Amino acid sequence: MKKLRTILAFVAIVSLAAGLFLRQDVRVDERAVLVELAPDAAFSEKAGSPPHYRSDRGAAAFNSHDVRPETRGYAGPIKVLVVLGSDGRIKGLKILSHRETKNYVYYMETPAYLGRFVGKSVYDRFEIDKDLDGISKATVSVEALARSVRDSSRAVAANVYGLQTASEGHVSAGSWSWLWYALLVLFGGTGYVLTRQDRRYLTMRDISLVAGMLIIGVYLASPFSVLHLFNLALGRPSSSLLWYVLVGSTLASLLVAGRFYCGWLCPFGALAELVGRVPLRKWSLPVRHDDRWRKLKYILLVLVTPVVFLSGRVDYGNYEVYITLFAVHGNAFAWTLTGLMVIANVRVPRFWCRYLCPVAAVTGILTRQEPAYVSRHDCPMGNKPNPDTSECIRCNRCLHRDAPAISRS
Amino acid sequence: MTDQNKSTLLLSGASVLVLLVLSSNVFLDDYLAGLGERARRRMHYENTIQKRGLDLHKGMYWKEKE
Repeated sequence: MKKLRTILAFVAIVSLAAGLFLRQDVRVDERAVLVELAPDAAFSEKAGSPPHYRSDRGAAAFNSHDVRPETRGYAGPIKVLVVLGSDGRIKGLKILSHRETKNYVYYMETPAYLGRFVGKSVYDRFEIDKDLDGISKATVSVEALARSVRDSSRAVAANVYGLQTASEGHVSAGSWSWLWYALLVLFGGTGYVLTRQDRRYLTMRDISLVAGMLIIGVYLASPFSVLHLFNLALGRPSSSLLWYVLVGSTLASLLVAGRFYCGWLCPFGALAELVGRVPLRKWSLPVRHDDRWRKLKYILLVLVTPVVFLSGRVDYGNYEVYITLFAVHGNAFAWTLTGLMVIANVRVPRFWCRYLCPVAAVTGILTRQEPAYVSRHDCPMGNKPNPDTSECIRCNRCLHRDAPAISRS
Repeated sequence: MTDQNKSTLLLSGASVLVLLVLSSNVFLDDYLAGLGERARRRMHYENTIQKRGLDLHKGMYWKEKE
């Protein structure tokens, strides 16, 4: 494990540093987008404060990020080219770039959704689920889009057209999502501490997992993902409080309770365990065979990390089935993989977690050794006796307080 | 077929699928979408700008010239 840790750290640092030197921000041709948005108008060069293009018909076009760079979505700024009429109404808009996970925001990018902004006035409220439709599972991104378009349009309307606009507005929906997550972590954490003392509380784990599936998976659609860590490493924090609670609590729990997230909260892990309880014969796999294939998840992580860091494109590294499943979006390959990974649990419990999950790989690498987890016949991960702690999801069934300290690398 | 062979087959299939998903992230979403974008701009150039005998830069302002 020490060797794997070193290899991953080396690959991550080298590719991150190389990416900083080699990567160039993709420049979007704003003029080409202007032709698309207003084919009959001719625009001047970009100038003025805030920077904008002026058309022969009186409209102004601008990149929302030039005007309000501080507005960020879940994983970074959402840059929008907006054409604003002199009456303060939006004539057209198109998203130039964003760093959100595409599975969640695919509808937000479509002309059908963006068309709902057309005709809106700078005096409108731009409130999700009030005068603008929300998008299920993309609340943070849609809020950021609305805020970015509204605030930048108001600034341009005030400075270019001299219109009197409100400087602030209220956009709220899903603002309390972080609280649901925090409460779930609190419940799971309490269960974790209690089951370490007394196994009679083990039912709390089942409750925590089902709640995790419903709250993190179905309601919030925000399972912890390796993409969170890639964004963190690339210095792209979010403006969402949920993001901080999610990433912060998972990293903190990793320090004190290893793969607690996998064993107590992960919505896909919960589904895998539920499917694994189907009373069908499980495959009997030799320990050597099982051990060898468990390395696959680390190999995939080591392969994907440089691709993401060199390209700066976090979405390139997305093969996580829980994103496809809970975002309810993915291509044919992603859905086939997701279906296969759900069904496989019938024969091999927690199949995805054992062999392929990148979160299992990264949390496994970062977890510290804990010899008190000795494994037993009903281990949800099918671990061998005295397994490496990187494979333990801390269900606390096998916790053996008097276990001798075993040094493993 | 033994359980070990079945598991090897399943894992190999899953690995291939993961590689296909990763490849599609890079090529399907971006590269092919980029090809479509380039084709659209080429058509705009040939149908609108080149017809009027303008160079690319002036083509941006052909409306203004008219």
